[in-house]
Amino acid sequence: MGCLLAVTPALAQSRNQARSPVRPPVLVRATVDAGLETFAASESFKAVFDSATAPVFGGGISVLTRPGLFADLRISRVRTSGQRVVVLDGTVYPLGVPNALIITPVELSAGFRWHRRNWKVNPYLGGGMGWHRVSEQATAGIGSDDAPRTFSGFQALGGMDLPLGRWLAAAGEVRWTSVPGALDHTNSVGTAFGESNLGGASVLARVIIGRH
Amino acid sequence: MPIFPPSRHAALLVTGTLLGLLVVLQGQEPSVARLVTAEVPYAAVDRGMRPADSPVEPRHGINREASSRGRRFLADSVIVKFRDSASTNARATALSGVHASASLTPSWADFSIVTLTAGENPETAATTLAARADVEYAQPRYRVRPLFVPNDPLYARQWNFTALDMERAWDLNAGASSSVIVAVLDTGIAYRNASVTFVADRFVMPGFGSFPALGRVTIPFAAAPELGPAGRFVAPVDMIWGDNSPLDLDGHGTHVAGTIGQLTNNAVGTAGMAYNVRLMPVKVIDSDWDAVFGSPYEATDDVVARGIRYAADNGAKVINLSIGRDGGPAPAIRSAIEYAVQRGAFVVAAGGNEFEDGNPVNRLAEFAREINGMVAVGAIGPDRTRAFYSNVAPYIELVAPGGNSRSGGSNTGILQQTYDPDQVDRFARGPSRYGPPRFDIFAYDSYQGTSMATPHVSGFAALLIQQGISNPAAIEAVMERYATDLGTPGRDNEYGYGLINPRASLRGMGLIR
Repeated sequence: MGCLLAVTPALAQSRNQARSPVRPPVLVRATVDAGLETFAASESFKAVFDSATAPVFGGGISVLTRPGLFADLRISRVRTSGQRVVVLDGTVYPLGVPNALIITPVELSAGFRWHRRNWKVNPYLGGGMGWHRVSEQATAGIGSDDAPRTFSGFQALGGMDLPLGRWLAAAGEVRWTSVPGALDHTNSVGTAFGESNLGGASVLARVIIGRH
Repeated sequence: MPIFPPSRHAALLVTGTLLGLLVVLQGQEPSVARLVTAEVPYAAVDRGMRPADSPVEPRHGINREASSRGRRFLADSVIVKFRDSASTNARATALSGVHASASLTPSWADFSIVTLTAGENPETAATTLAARADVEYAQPRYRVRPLFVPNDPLYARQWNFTALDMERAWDLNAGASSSVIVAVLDTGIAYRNASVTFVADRFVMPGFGSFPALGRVTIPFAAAPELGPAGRFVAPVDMIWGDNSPLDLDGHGTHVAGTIGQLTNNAVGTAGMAYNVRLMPVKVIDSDWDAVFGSPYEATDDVVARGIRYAADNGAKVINLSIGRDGGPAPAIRSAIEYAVQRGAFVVAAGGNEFEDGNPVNRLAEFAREINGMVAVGAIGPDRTRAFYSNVAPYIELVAPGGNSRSGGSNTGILQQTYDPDQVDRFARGPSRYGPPRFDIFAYDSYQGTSMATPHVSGFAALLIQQGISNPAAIEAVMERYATDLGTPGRDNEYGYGLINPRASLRGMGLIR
């Protein structure tokens, strides 16, 4: 018992220090994430890649201000592969020509994070702009055939983070992205299916490194 | 009649036309129509280019710009060839200078693959290594991609393949495969060696007089060296002589077959569109010599229709009709074509060469617009404009290179291997110099006509089939979808949907483009 009595004040002091208002006005945190993205142009993706869902990996920097405003810069990457096709009256003819797709979005988002001392999780919402670099490579493609292109779009996001310690947190996030007009080229399967948006919805698990 | 080059061998044309109408066989019916007396007596003679054909400037290589993928070479290693005198220590020193972590010499190589540490630039590392005295050479591991330029020496004269961007198409599909059978319904094909005995009776040709009887003559035949071995030919049939030896007594069919499937990249002669396909020789056209030798059948609608059905029933996936006629409608042929399409064969018909002769309807092509799975083909010259002879009609759906001698320059026809015309057109110089022909001497000769445009489309169809598009209607749709529009924007009667575009068709669609 005496031992317990001796320890208790020290614990209390430590907790007080953790709750003390020493948090700086601006926190800079690093994030890494992984998840799945389901593309809105589902028929087009299924025609070329057999699936409208692909894994996504990303990371970036998040700046969090004391009132709860935050700004995120995130770079991610989606990679999938399939084969080129011809689509006639909705029928897809695979051509056996390998086709690889890499989408590298750079997204700038801002939003608000709600935080209370007694909350175990902190919800946040935001939105912003993105620039999506798309590289599509086919066998024997040369020059302009496969030149990467960049499309701009916008995104909305929401999630909740769960502090796991003073410098670490986990978060679950849902993103909705719109990249209009990316599939408008006459040689895009999107024209065959009336789909032109490269965006979609993604579910991400994030790890946040930094004070919160 | 075959859709023959209108300006080639004027004498042959004259005789061909007149013979078709006015051959008068005299004397008794020959007791032996024809008799194969030996299977392999003659080796083919290849005379090479016709001497009258003037050479042209060599074709410059296509500007194959570096890929913009940003990965022209592997990022983690370089190729290094050390001098034999380089010691182990010297090699280690060299490698450490570029932060290389490992080196291995693969089998069948006299160089090493050196693995670089992450972040090391391969080009910089290679330059550093190459500057050393103990290194013979060093280079990044550049990515090599298929880049097929046939090594056939006369390929440089085949403007038609350059016009179709075939080198990049062959990168995607290297000449189809032997699983695809293309039937050539024509004057036959020089597909086998044989000596054949015929009886040639006397005949009269207005304007030339009377040609003497040659009596019983033994004519040498040889397989065209550039069409490949006997095993390449499937189910040959002769509807003109009523047997299964569709020997070409003209050269037209052999030329057409060459455009479809001339052996390619074999360092000999010319190239062909779909050079791996198997060919089905179906003789449905009687040539002048067939008439002189008294063939029992002529090229009539029924013969052609039978040939089409025969081809469809014997596995042909593409049927090439570089033939045509005007006159009345051809329902028998239409029915046969519909049957063939139902059986899964894609039918390609020549559009006709009579634009300047009243532009009559080619009855074998006119229903192309109504049959999904059949196309009628017009011809363009090297300048990508309609050839002067190519019919203008609502049924023209596509165009392909057919040659145009009026477009300027000497290299304006379609060059393929066929018989040496000097050995075939033995009646063209009149009775005094008349003699039996030889069908074992070959030359590379330029023809022009929608006959020559048609086999480009047939070869293209074979490539599409090999690529996985086998439904005839789908083949037609793809060809039209990706055709390069020429002339009036949109479909028109001169060019149809435009110039076939094998490269774009074979590449198809991606997600973005």
